[in-house]
Amino acid sequence: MSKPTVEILLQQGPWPGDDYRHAWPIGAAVRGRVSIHAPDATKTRRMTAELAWRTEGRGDTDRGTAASVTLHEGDLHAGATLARDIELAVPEDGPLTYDGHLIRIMWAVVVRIDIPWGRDVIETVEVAILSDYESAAPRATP
Amino acid sequence: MKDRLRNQTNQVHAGVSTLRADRHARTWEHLPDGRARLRGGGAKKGIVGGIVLLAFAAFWNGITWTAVLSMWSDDGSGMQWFFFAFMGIFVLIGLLMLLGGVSLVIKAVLVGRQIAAPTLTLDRLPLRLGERFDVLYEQPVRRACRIASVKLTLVCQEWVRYRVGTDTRTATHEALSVEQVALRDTHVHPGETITARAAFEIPRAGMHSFEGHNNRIKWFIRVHTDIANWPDYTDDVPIQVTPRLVHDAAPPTADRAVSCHPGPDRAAPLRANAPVTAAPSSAADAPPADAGVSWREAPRASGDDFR
Repeated sequence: MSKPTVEILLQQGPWPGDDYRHAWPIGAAVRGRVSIHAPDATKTRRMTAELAWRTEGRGDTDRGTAASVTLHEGDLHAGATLARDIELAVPEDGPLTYDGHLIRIMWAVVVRIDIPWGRDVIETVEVAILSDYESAAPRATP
Repeated sequence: MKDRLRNQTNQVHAGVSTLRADRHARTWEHLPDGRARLRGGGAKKGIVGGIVLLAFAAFWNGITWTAVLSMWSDDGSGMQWFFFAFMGIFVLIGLLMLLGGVSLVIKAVLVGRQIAAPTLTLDRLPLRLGERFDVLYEQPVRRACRIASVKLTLVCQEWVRYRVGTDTRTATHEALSVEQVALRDTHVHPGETITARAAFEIPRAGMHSFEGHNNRIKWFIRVHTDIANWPDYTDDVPIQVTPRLVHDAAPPTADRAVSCHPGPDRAAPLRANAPVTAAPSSAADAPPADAGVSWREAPRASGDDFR
C-alpha cells in the first residue's frame, strides 16, 4: 500500500530574489498551498500544517511550534487529492533564523499526516524568519 | 517559551515597568523619560558567591576528611598508602575550594570598602536590532582611591547545555564583544561618584535575546572597574534585545560610534537551497488569484529534523 504524498508550495516572501524566496519577517504570515495525494485508501486521524522551529548545534535540541492549522480530519479514499491554502502567522517575538557558532535556529513549514498505528507522513520545507532588516537593503529595483 | 520571552520583555506593574535582569531578582526600573536604570549587584554578589562556595567546600571536606581520618586511626598497611594517595586528590580539591571561597569573600569585602554598588542607566529597554544607545555608569566612592580604568563591554553570548552520558555540561561562546574604556586614571575621594559614559550599537544583523531550555542568546553589559592596587570590581548586567529592527537610526557621531562585528548572516541557510524549479502550471496546482504572487516549489528541510 502506497503512502500519501505531500507537496508544499510556498509563495515568495515579501522580498524579491532567490536568496529571500522563502524568507519572511516577524509578524508576517507564511502563505502557500499544500497538496496531498493518496494512491490507496489510507486511514488517517488528521493532517496538519505547522510553522515550527528547532535548534541545532552543540546544545540539546529546543523546539517550538509557532502556528498550526488542521488541513483535514478523517480517512483518505483511494485516489483522493486534497489541495489546501495555508496561512501561518510568524510570531512577533521570534526567534529569528540564526546561524551561530554553537547554536543554529531553523524554521520550517511542516505538514504532518497522522496515521494511526503507523509511521506518520511528514513533509518539511525550510524557511527563514528574519527581522525586517533585509527589507531596507536588498529590495530589487522595480 | 514564547510566554517566557514575552514575560521577560515586559512586566508592567501599576505604572512602574520593570524588566527582569537576571535570576537574582535585579530588575530594570523604567523611568518616566523612557530610560531604564539598574542598580548593580555590588560587593554583596561576590560575598554570596564566596559563601556558597565555602558551604560546598565544607560539605566536600567533611566527607573527604572523615574518610581520611577514619583510615588514619586504623592500623597501617600497604593498602592504606594507596588509599591516602587516592584521597589526596579529593583533599586537594577541597582545600582549593576553601581557598577560592575565602578569596572571593575577602575580595568582595575589600572592593565593598572602596566603592559601592554601581547604577547603570540606558536610553531605553528593551533594545532593538540596529539600535544605538548610551550607557551612563555611576558608582559612589567610599574611600579615596585611584581608578585605573572603567571598561564597559557590550557582549552577545551563546550559551548551550548538553548531556554527555550522565553528565550535563554547558558551553559558551562570545559572538560579539565591543569594549570601551569609559574612564581612565582618575583619583576619586569619599562621597564622590565615578561617572562614565559609553555608546554602543546592537548590530543590525545581530541576533536578539533568546531563552530556550538548552540554548540561549544572552546580551549583557560587562562592567570592569579597575581600582589601582586593589581588587577589581566586575559585573555582568543582562539586557534584553528584541527581534525588531530600529528604523529611525541616526548616523553615528564620530566620537561615539562603536564598530561592531556584524552578526552571523541569517540568510545563509537559504543560499544553500536547491535551484528554483519552474512554477506549477496545471490547473489543480494553480495559486489563488493573488496578483503578482509568484509560486515556487520549496526546498525540503533536512531529514527528520522536525519529526
